[in-house]
Amino acid sequence: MTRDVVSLLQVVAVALGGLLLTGLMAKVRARAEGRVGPPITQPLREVAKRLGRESPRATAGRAQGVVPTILLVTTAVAAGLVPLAGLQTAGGAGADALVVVFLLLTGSLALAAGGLATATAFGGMGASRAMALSALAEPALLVALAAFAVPAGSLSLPVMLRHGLNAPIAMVSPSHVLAALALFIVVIAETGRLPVDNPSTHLELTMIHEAMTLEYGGRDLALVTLGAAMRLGLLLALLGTLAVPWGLATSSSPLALAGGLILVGVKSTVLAVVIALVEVHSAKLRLFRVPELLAAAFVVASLAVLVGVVAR
Amino acid sequence: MTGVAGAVIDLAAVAVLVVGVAGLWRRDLRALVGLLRVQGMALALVAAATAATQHDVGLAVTAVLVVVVKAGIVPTLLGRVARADPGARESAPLINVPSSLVLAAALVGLAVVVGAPLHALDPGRAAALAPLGLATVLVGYLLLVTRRRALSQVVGLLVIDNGVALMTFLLTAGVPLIVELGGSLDVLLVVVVLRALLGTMRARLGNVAIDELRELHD
Amino acid sequence: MAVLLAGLGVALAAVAVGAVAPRRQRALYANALTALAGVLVGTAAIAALVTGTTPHAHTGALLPLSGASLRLDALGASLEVTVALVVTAAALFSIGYAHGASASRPAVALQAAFALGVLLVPAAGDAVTFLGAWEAMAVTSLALLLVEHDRPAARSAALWYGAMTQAGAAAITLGLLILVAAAHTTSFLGIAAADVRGPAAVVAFVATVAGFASKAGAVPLHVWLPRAHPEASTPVSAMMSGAMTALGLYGIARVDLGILTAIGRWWWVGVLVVAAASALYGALHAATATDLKRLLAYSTIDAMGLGLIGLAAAGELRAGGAPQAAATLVVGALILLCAHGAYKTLLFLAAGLVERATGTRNLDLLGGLAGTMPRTSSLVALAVASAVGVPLGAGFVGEWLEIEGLVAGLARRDPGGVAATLLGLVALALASGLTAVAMVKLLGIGFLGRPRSEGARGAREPHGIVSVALALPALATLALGIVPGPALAVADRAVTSLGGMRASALHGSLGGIGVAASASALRPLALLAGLVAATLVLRALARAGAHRIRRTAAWACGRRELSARMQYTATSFAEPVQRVFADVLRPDVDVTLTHEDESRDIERVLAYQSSVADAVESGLYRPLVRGADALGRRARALANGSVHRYLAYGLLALLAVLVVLR
Repeated sequence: MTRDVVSLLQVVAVALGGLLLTGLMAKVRARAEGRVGPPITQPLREVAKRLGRESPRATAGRAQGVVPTILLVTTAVAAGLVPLAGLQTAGGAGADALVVVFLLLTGSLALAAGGLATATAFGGMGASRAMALSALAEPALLVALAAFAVPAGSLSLPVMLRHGLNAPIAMVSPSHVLAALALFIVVIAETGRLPVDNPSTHLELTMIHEAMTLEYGGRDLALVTLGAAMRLGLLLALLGTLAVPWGLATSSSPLALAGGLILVGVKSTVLAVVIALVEVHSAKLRLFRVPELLAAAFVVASLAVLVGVVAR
Repeated sequence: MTGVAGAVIDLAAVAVLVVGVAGLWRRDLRALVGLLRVQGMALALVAAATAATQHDVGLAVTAVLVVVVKAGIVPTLLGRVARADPGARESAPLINVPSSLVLAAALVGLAVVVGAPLHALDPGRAAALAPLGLATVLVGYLLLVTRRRALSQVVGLLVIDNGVALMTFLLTAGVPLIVELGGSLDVLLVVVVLRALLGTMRARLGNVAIDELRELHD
Repeated sequence: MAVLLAGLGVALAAVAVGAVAPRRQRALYANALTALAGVLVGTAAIAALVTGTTPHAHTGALLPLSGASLRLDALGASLEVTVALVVTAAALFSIGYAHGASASRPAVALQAAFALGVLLVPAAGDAVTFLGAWEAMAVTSLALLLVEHDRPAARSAALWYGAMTQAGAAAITLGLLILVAAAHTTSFLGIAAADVRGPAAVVAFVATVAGFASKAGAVPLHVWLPRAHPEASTPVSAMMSGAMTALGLYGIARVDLGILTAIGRWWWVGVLVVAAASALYGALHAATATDLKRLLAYSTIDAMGLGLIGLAAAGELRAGGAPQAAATLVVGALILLCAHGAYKTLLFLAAGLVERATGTRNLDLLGGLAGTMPRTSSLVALAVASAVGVPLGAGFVGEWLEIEGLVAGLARRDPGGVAATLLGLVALALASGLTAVAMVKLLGIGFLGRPRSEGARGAREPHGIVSVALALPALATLALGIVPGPALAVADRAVTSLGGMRASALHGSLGGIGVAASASALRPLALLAGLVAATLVLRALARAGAHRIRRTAAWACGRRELSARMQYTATSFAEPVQRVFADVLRPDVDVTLTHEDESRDIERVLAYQSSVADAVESGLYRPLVRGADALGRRARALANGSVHRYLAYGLLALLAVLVVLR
């Protein structure tokens, strides 16, 4: 029962946190560029406002109405599975890293199919680019996760994280550091941040994520925005937890769980600020230079595994 | 060997390799020289940490020497060459960047597989890392083979040299000071000569893309 | 045993009925009998797995010397379930689908014989029976390609397929003969007990792996597959892809993993490299293909590559002393084959329906079928979800097990093993990402959006038995994805048929499955509950908020009149992938620009053409074929039509024989 409550709380926390982190990143960028920028709560307000509005749906796209639901539901279940506050969630031992990854992938597939369903040039363009990049990111992602999993010998997140908690010195092993670095690059690509995608532009030639969501409006758009924000929040929290698992509650006492939740919030905030600062100092890569970045992530992830053999 | 020094050696040795691989990723020549500087420092850190664990004064002196030569003089000299031609980039390497990165991953895998017997030479903990040195050598070779600019090739040569140095530090845990001194001076000499040569070539030809230097002139 | 024999008997009866029945009833009776045979054999296989028995039978009357024997152990039975499912679905489909050339007497009889062949292969208990069944399967499928021999594409496909399949069968025969000669027995049990080692084992390994891998479409022996699958009639393509290619991997599991247990690990690393190349090559071509059936054919190469990665890595891990991880990988590969059988059958059958309804297989001319053929489209969406590894799909279970096994393989101290396993993991990851590109393209371009041609606009949903045939593999996909426990529990038994692997490395129950060594678990039922609960909450909230929907035209950045030609096509969708992997694919891109007469600055027509040919075929096989051709041309000089010369050859041959025999 406690586990279910924890999972439910996590979903709410990831939803709120994802929206706030999106706002925070915009704020950090604005400040670093010498602007005031919108308030941090801006994305939250926009989603709340749109939730009450009617949704226009292109007659051509019959699948369009299902897509926001699939995106949101899969992301929410993934957010409930991952151990963020404490080691045990509603998923128990079934909280497997691969399940989380493939749940998130399901969301991206639905979004891409939705882009094609609207029968517009932009929708297809976004879907085509997003799918190509996600295919190229997958080796780096899976190999980085494997590098995290190797010391514990398991892809089950509770087992992996418990092992990490029991062996703090392993946090500075080269293999762990490299895996975290590779995952960091993949997270940037998967959440559509600079230098891979620019979340704040609607310039035709550079859009990826935004191109797929152009035809959504009202409540549908609110759900898609919320889904994307949850994805950001979840991936940052997952990266933070895998890289530095300290603070995860091992017991089910409310105090420890609350502490764990606050700490994971701090970790994600730090990562969000870092990513925002990276964005300030980098220009968007040309689409066909992005594979270089993903290849770099892949080679770092492979090194994490190979180095693990010699330096363990 | 204490835990902290061991962890430092692990991280620094891996850093030498990772920086070498990063050389395949960056196209900006000045960034390439910067990477070389970082690699020199990481190499010095390996030497220093090994010296600390073994209380070896000679190795400590070597570490200082490595900092001065490989992280100081050599990158500075090359940096001047790079600055003389601002905006010079490795625009079209013989093998494109994603492929060379994947190739680098394969080479590291190969080095780890064939380098495993190196551990038998020296059962110490650091010796297990020796394949990383071999991997750095191979990555340096890749840089040397696939890049068109003369400066990138010099960097490739120096990455190879750093890989060899890493291997010797890890394997014998301390080279005789005189050997390292000789090696470093050799490298310095090579760099000085190359720098002079590159300067002359630019003065005569205006650029130094190796592929365009096919014909011999009087 | 009785059920199995009855099933095979019914299949044989189907062949006879197909050959003699009058035209009107032919397709109905023969295919109904084949479907019944599939159900019977499937039931026998499931019963054998559940009860843990091994039905077997032997008769000396059927084949000379060794006789024929059937033996359905756990490994054979796991494959037999997949094959029976595919055969049943394809036969049911044929009842409603067969017409024209595919309803002719030879076509119906041959299709029934092909079904009998694939059902027989996993049940064969000795090398001779196995080879007989294998050859029956190969020859009937070849003849089925020639049913529509008036089309040049079908003739060319049959030529390629014939050459490759016979060469493959020859290699398998050679390998098995070596084993039989070394072991002095033909039964698989006896050969395994003889424990063949040394050079004989190596030659047998290489020959059988090459033969079986060519059947499974492994690169570079895959060239027949993308030609044969699209040219065969729809139910035959489904059986070829879902059942026959899987039997190629079954052969590797049975002979190379199961019998040649003493083979060195580096041989398996070699197979792993081939498997990785196949998975990537197939996935890459599937991602760029524009022909519906060609896409599915390349995706078969991809899926078989993924299965072979599992088997090869298992061989390496077993030789490297990690039997638990090896067992996980074998079970993963078996589940993957079963999942592939189900979803690929569904996709091929749906592709046939689409082709009949619209008159084209070209994705660039399809679209909007979700509106005109809603039932087929939702089933295709289900199959696509299973193929790309959406949790709750059958494909995910197999992929999950394989990745779990590979990660266990990475957690070793041995650098060679880790490097090989890493290669397998990387190939699996990239191939699964590219599969997602291909499948989203199939669904999004082919079925969503707006129709791109008159044919697609006028498509109608078919009714009757063909829908039942599509629903059967769909149900199997869902069942395997949501309740994989029972399937896993029985597939775990299959590894006991292979030497040196430990059973019970895995455990399965109704609630989910788990890997014992790593304490990882997959709980699809709980996951389903979570997803359903979240959806219901979202629905309830929408209802409470009185959510309204307004139907409108697409906005498209303010563009007024959107035509269907402004959508992305399959070609443009795949362009980024094609560009990134241009070095491997070597696409042929042609841009033609025509200018207005008045001004060079105004362009009138911009034509973009891009085609991706099979680089292995043009680079490796064309020179080979040219060489053989030249040799043949030169040999023609030997036969100039003069009777005297032929008689002289006869005399020379006689003299040679006399000299040799002396």
